[in-house]
Amino acid sequence: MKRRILVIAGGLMVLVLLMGVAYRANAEGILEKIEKTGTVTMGLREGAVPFGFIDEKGQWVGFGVDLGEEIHKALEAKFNKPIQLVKKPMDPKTRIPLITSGAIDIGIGSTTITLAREDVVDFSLPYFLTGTRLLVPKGSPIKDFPDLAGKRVGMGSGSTANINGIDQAMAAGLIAPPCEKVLFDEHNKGFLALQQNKIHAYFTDASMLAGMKAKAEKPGDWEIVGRYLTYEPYGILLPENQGEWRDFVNAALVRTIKSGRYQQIYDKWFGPKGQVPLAMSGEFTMLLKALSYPE
Amino acid sequence: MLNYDFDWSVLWRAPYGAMFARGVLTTVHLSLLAWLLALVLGACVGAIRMQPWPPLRRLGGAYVSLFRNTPFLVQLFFWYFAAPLLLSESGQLWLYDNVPDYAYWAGVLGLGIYTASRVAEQFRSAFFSIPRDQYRAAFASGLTSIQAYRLVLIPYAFRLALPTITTEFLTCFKNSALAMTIGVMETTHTASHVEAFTSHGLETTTAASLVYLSLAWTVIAAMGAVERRLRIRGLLARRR
Amino acid sequence: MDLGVITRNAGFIFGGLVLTFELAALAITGGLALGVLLGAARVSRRPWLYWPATAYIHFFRGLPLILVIFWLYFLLPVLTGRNLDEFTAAVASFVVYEASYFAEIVRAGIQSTSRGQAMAAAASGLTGPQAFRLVILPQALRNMLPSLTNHAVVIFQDTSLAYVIGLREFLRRVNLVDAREARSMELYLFAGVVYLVLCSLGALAAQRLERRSPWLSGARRND
Repeated sequence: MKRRILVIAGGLMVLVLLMGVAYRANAEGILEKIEKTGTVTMGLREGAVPFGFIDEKGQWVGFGVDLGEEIHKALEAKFNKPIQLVKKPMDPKTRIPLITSGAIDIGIGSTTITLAREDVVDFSLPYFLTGTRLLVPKGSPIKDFPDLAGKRVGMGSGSTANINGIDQAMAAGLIAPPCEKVLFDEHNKGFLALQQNKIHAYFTDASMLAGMKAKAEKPGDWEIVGRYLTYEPYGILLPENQGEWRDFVNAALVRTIKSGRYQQIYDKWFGPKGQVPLAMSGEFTMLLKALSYPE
Repeated sequence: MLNYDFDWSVLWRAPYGAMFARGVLTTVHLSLLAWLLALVLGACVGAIRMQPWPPLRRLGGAYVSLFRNTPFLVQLFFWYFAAPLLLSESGQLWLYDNVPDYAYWAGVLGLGIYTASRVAEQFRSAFFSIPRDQYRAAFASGLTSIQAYRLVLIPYAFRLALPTITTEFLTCFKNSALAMTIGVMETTHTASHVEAFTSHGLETTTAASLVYLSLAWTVIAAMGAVERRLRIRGLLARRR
Repeated sequence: MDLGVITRNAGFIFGGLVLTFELAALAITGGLALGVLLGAARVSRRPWLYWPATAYIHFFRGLPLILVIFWLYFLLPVLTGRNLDEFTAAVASFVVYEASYFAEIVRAGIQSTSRGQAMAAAASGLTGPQAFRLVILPQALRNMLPSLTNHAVVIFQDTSLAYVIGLREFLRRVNLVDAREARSMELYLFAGVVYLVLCSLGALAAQRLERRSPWLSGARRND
């Protein structure tokens, strides 16, 4: 018994020691840090077609990667020197911790701006607009959210905005009796489960569903159905209280949109000849117009 | 200064408190079921590897090297994603409609089968260290081979192997954390799930760590008691 | 079955094997070094060596490796304000975690060395640490070689867990190809076969060591 207590005490000691060395690097501005070190660390998606993924040649590409390049170019223009771009992988579960721990300076994925997330991180202006829908096998009896009653529905376990959305729909009686939520840490595993009939439908952002459908063996076997249950405006992830850095990213974003470069990048990935054909909705077009701030 | 606001209430306030309770319970019964499977299967495979007929022995050896020499993570993915494809399409549909939480059962099966390959090795070395006289006595008293193993040799080997088997039991609990990768809402998955909603990862991960540590200490204490009760009298000491 | 998915991506996937081997090599050497120190402390009669080492070993053996990785990669930076990149974080996690396993192997090895050896060392005028380093440890390490090799195989498999923090080792790359091509069955079976072949070689080596351990006696070093 005495021995066990000592062991526990030892374990606690290790924890206390860890706390003891706890200190926080003084909050220097990220822009100054980038200028001083000459590097910027960017979090990108690795397995989300087409926001960020590894292509057939093993290259890290995607919509978010191209957008990141624009911000990288803006940084080099600002400091008038080459800045090294360090890319780090992030996924829905790791993206917030990576920002709060300071492991990345900026995260460009497919992150919905939510008020809960605003408590711990900052967001850029919304630069992408989509909404949540359903992916089902072609000919499935599921046509809209009420048809989900009593079915098994897959979704991403880190996609808190999606989960809250469907919880509210169930609470409001839109889906009655409620559906069973099946959580996956990555969308691709969820899609595989859908192909294997483990779940009846997969629920997430339409832009992501389009990516899943496009990379299926026979894209024609799948359809995206249902109303837009929620609107999901995406923002670039930034650390809290970095006003200058946030202003810089926003300005770079606005200029990318105004110069038409944003549209080029969109067409490259989502255009009719892109990896994931997805026409830009009217609301989305309007959002981009509203973001075209004057200089 | 630590730039972090601790909020330990994420561990018990609704709805997260209930999530944690369910997560810990899932860890416990998933691991226990897997352990039961591992013990039975491990004893059988261990015994098979002692048999005089070479093909049977080789079968046991193949089982052990197959499951010991691939990462548990890969095995889990196999049981969850690939194994059901071996059934016919209607069989698969029946499986998913009638086994409500397939991921959970894939976790039990995967963890049990993996752990069995390690337990089998402990049993085998225990069989080797059973005194020859026990074998002779068991067979001389007219027991069939299966009876001899079931009634005499496996219980004896179990008692000999108990200390190393305790270690495997602990490992079984810890490995259950990997079931999160196929979506089972056990302790670690719950911790990271609650973190996704609250952004309080320090609190949730600390809680998860303490859960595993207390489980480990409970197992050590319980197995210590079992070991003392089941000690074989007349042996100088436990092996190792 | 569409085995084309493997041939198409073979270059990318096998590229990850290099990282897997690097991770395993660093984890094994680092873990063994720390494990020898901890194992020696475990058999020490000095309480200030014995208890911290015992606490350390019980602490880490009670935690799932996946949690240790989460701690070092996500939470330590929040506490300390210093970042570990994912490679360092993974290696550090493996080293601190596997050391607790190596320590117990080392302890068993030391305890299996005969008492006469220690007495002989003391009689020939070696100090305690000298006796340990020059006489006990080399013999103990030789006794433990099969167990150490077995555990090295386990570590090789454990490196697959680095996938949870996005390190592009072998399994992570299999995963990434899967994200693009949705061919889990082929890819995971393939991953299983690759690990099986590599780990079986390791296990075979351990078996040979077990059977013919005396072959090492000629190769004993003096330091």
